[in-house]
Amino acid sequence: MPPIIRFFTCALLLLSFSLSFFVCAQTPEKIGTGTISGKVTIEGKPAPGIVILINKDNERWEQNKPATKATTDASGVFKLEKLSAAKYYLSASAPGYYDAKKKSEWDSGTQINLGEGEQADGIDFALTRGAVVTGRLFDDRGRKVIEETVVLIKQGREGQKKTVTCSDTSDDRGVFRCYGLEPGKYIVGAGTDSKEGNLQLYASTSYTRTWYPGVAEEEKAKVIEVKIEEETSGIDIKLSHKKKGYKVLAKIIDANTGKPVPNMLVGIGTANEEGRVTGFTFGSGSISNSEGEVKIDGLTTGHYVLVPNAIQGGEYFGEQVKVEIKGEDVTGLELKVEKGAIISGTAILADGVNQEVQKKLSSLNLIASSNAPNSEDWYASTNSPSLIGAGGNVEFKGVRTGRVRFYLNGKEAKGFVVSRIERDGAPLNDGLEVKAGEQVSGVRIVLAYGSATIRGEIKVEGGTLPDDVGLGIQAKPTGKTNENVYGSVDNRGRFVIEGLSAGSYDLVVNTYSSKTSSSISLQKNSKTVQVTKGQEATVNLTVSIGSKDSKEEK
Amino acid sequence: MRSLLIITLMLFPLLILAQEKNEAVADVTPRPKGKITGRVMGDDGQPMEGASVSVGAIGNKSLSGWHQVTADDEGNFVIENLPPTAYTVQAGSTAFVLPVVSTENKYYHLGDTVNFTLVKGGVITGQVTNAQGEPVIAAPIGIIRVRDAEGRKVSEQGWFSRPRKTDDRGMYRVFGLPAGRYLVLAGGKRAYSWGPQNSYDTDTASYYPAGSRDSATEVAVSLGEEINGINIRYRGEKGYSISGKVLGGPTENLLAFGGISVALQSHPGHSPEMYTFVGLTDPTRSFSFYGVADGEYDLVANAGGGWGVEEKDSFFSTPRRIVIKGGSVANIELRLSPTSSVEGKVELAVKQEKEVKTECKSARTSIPEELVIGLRRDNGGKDDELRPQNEMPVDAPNEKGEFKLKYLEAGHYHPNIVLPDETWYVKSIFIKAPAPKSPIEKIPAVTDAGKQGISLKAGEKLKDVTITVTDGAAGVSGKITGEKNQALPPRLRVHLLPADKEVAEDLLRYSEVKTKADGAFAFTNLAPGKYWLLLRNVDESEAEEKPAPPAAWDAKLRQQLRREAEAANNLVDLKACQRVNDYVLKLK
Repeated sequence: MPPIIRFFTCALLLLSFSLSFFVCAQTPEKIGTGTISGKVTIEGKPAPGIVILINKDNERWEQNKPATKATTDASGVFKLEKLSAAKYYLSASAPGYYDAKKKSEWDSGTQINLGEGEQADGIDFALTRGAVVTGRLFDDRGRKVIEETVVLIKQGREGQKKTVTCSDTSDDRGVFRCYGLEPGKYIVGAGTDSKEGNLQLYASTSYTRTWYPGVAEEEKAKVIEVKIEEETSGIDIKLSHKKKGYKVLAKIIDANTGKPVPNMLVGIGTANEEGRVTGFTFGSGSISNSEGEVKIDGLTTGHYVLVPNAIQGGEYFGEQVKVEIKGEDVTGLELKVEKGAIISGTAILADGVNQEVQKKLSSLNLIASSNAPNSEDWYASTNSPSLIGAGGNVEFKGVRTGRVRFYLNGKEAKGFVVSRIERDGAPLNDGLEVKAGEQVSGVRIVLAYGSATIRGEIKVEGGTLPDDVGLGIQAKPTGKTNENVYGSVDNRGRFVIEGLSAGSYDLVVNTYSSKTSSSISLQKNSKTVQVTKGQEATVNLTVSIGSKDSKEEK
Repeated sequence: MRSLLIITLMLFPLLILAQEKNEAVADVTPRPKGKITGRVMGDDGQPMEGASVSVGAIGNKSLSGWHQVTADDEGNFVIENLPPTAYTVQAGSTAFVLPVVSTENKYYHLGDTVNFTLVKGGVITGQVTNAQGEPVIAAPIGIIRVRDAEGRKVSEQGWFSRPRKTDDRGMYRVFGLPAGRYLVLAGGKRAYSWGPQNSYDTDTASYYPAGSRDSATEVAVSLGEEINGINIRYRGEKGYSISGKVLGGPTENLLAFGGISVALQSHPGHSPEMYTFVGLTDPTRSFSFYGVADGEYDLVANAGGGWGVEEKDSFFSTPRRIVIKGGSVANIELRLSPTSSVEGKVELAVKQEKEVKTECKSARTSIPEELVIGLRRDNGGKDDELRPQNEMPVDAPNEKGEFKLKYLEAGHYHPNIVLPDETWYVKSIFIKAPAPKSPIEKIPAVTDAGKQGISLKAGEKLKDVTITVTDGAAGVSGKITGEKNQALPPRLRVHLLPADKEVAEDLLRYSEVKTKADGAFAFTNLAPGKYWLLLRNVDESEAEEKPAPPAAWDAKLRQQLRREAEAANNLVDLKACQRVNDYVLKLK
């Protein structure tokens, strides 16, 4: 494998990451005066030598960046000092142990909204020695199945399910060993879930999903119960070779000239029979070549939609095309694209130029977003990025017909808002309407940067919130229709709302549930606060739990 | 090396899709398509059902240029509807390897049957414990192949195994290893350790048995063998960071060519240690590595260069030497420079079918599109290659005979041409210089690349290379024989030198091959003429997988070869189309 290609493959891997996260440079660490401390216990006893991983808010998704680490002392206590005010995420790195609070191996852990000089104590972790499940994978000829991923689904109360990926793939003997499991009831399976309509573009396996002891249907899988520190062995699973996946070969052409269009990223979604999209990804890695060709492989029978989308700075956009795979490859498919609108103009900061803010702004993308006519087709919207050039020049290409909304994207986007749009000096209160192919110039996007912060604590009275219910907070500019700024509340009730422009805000506290769509109404849940530029306001709120929302929905 | 490719393909199955690129379609009647078939068997004689087979068209002429299929329950595979060109065919199955690691690419053509026998690779197992003797759980295990089965040093570059981790008992098991000697290490952030953050990612790796790389012990493993008890004492030492930024390179659209990646390679050896990426939307283009151990490294940045990427977007930085000793290094600047390319045409000067004499008839009908054109880097014997020879770009001519080699770093090269037909040989390779700018320079200069090779500056786009291929090629094959009961040395090389003084400087007339175990050797695709054969020992330090540069490249060595050959006087006079099949070369 040439190094170049290695580079490239990794870069593409990154691509699939960066579609969801923006990866950026690190900023110099500020030294603060806050502390976070806590105790780690294993089955109630102090656990020394446990590593705690700490990440600042956005940094936890920076590729390659390791977490800051702290290790517990002889009495199981860890302490982090000299912390600046920020949102932190803490988790105990103790493979082999189980942390009931951790939702998955990618879970960043406990959120702490730390204020300047604050001492957040009692951030404790209670670990349990996990259970072990081992077995062998073999195929219908009795041969070992190697490097296959094993999945376990925990069968919770009230039909709740949690999928856990086994610690490592099967080895050259077909042996797998999953450890650190939460005690409970599980079903164990391996192979690709090739249910109709399941996107398996990333599947590298050549086996069909089979559940222990050898059934295809999840419902028929044998449930095993694992206990603390116990090893459940002999979970042997017989797998059968998967049926060949089908491929779609398509050509992307300019609807007007008939010429092939390169560099279009084709997104793919699964659809049900009515054509309603049930899942969608741009991470297929299918970018059209210089002949406009793309190939998407490994599809099962079913209904799909394909959407050609320009990659950064492209001038084309395309409508979705429905495809049905009926047991053979689909070839000769044409995806027609047309040139979108080009919007040009300037983006300026309303408050004038501050060097630090300007630097932040220059690292951001201003996005012109235009939705497909049917608002359900979110995946067919265009999001055309532009850097803000010298003199504030911006240009957006490939914008589809519709009403355009502008927003800022990037690691430093916090605090920036689009306060108004003008065209040729006249304000556009209802947004900007564009048509495909149109050249729209003279657009002025006025930005504002908010540097004020509201921080504080929310106390709940009149009862306690159920485990699955969390608190949310937002700041609504008093008497204005500008967009609300959302804050975050940690488990301790500490909240922070950042990036506010100077002015008056109504703080509103609400609840959300991770389990159901029902909400708990709160009383006395709002308060008006004034903030000034660059300042931090501290506000404590006390809300009371009212009766359960009468309009409870399923 | 093949198994590597397969591993990588499995790791990144969908990335192949984006690597393909079409060349301009010529206005020529399309050539008939064909197929490549074959079978993948295990060394136990059983078919390897589900083994993956990748067939790649040289030059990646179209989306249909890359195919990945799996062997059926009889181990058979067939890939149909292929356009005529040269192909690489690779087979692999997890935990299984080809019996011999080869760094030489073999090319196949339509109608060929390619059979593979895969052997179970070696296995290394052990336990990782900390200073207290407790198991170290979920630590990534790395493995570096440092010597081949004969104990000779190999180019470490390009070998990695699929990452494995220790389990809850601290036990690990690495499998699918080609025969050779390995360094085994735990912890650290290895080249491909993607995944959630963990406790070990800022540590430097602990090498078997208990220390740094300098104090590491090599572990020998044979095919099918299991080596147990390779226990590692985990040191948990904190590593350092290297950070900086990338300058130059593409101005926009990072996403379109896969972004900018930065590789940290060990020095010397260019073994990849870690990779990182510049954020696609990061205007400062900064990068960082963490958990780096004390030592010497090379940093190389790279932008574009994938098969789906336009040439204008491809950039390399020259390797930047970094020494880490007890501290982190920041503010490293890596400047990208555009890559070079070589463009040209193949001219096939062959006789019409009816004019061809019987003894000159070929066993197959070959076409120029089946040629493989590549370059070999001539770095004057220095070990500073960024990539091994089998990873250098190659191309096959299109229907018009045009070819283009892209993504080359600056340096001196020699053409490396693989012909599909044994009746063909390369007559000449010329580079026509650009047309004169002023009327004073009347004749455009012509460089004889067959003699002088090709020198490329950074970013140079060399054009007008004409490769003339003609028919009537001769060949000579034979055997080395010693005195009675005299054993042949394990590694011998036969050199072929032109005896005619007029072509003494034409490197296209020189050739060298290693003998097989039974002393057999063969030269094909030779221009008619008088040649000397010369037998030499292969230098003990030369790695089997990394052959020394041809002796004829070096003017001094060439003179020495000629003196030795003249003295040995193993002369063979080859007429057009002549095949000398039983040449006996005596061992002295």
